[in-house]
Amino acid sequence: MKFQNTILLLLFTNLCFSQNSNLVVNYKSILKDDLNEYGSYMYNKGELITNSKESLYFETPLDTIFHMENFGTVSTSSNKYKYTYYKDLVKNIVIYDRTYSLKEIIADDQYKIDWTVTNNTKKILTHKCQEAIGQFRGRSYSVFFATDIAIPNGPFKFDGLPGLILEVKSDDGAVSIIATEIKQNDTIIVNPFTGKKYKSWSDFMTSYGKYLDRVSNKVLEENTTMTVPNRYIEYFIKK
Amino acid sequence: MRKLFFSIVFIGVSGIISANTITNTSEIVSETPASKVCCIRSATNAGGEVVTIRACVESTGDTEIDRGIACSRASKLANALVVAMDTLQSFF
Repeated sequence: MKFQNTILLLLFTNLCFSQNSNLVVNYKSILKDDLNEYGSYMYNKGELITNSKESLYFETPLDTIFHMENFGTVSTSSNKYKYTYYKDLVKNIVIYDRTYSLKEIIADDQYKIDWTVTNNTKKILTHKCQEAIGQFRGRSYSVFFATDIAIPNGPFKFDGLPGLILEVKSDDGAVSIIATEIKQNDTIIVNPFTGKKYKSWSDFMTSYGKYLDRVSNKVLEENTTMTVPNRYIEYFIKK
Repeated sequence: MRKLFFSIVFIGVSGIISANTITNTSEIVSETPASKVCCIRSATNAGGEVVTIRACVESTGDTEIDRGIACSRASKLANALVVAMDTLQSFF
């Protein structure tokens, strides 16, 4: 009887814990891609609030100045923007407001990555992590997920592994997202975009393509042209 | 017979001279077009969107100086453009 009570108590505690407690993971997210003039850069703090069903991911810029081979010295400033990504891990959809000049909300349900888990392991923030590799919208990635945190999520649109993703690196060296801190939090996750009009990923790509065509190689003055990126973390258009 | 011999020699020499002239002319033409030195610079606006400017200047032969001028021009324009983007909501 005593044993049964203990089991029941454990189950009850586990149930309460899984319903109310979320994990908060802070990431340092860097994008440095100046392979050609359609490249881009970002230096962000990523904050992921997640449980195994849904999550919120916030992107805010950090103050920094860094050098890029083709773009020269570039800088980013904090407090300039805060973008939000709401992810429903059951429906496999991510809704977000970072639309790169188009000022719309995107609902992306086509971001699934086919991962291949390898035997490589390493420790990140005391957690044993295992490597997985995969392709995602124009780049090849190697990620490490924590085998002891059974949340199939990660920063940005990276998810779909049997543990929480703590490190993301693209093989071209452009993308690097690394977890810097993990803590627990009781914040309730809500979809901030409920009731708003969404644009699908394919519609976004069409709109961005038109924007890029309109802006690309625009002559501002003699011998001077401007352009905007065709890619950030994801490639929007092949150029 | 002598007249014929001199005529053949004259035609041959004329041909050699005109061939040299053409060669020299084409060499000069290939050296004529002025080259440009270009530089790419980027800046981000308040929304984190990147704008890239490519500026080119006519080459003076001193690549370092030319590149410096092109980069300075590209950088100034990129920074001015992101300010304009932030000020005017629908810049494009």
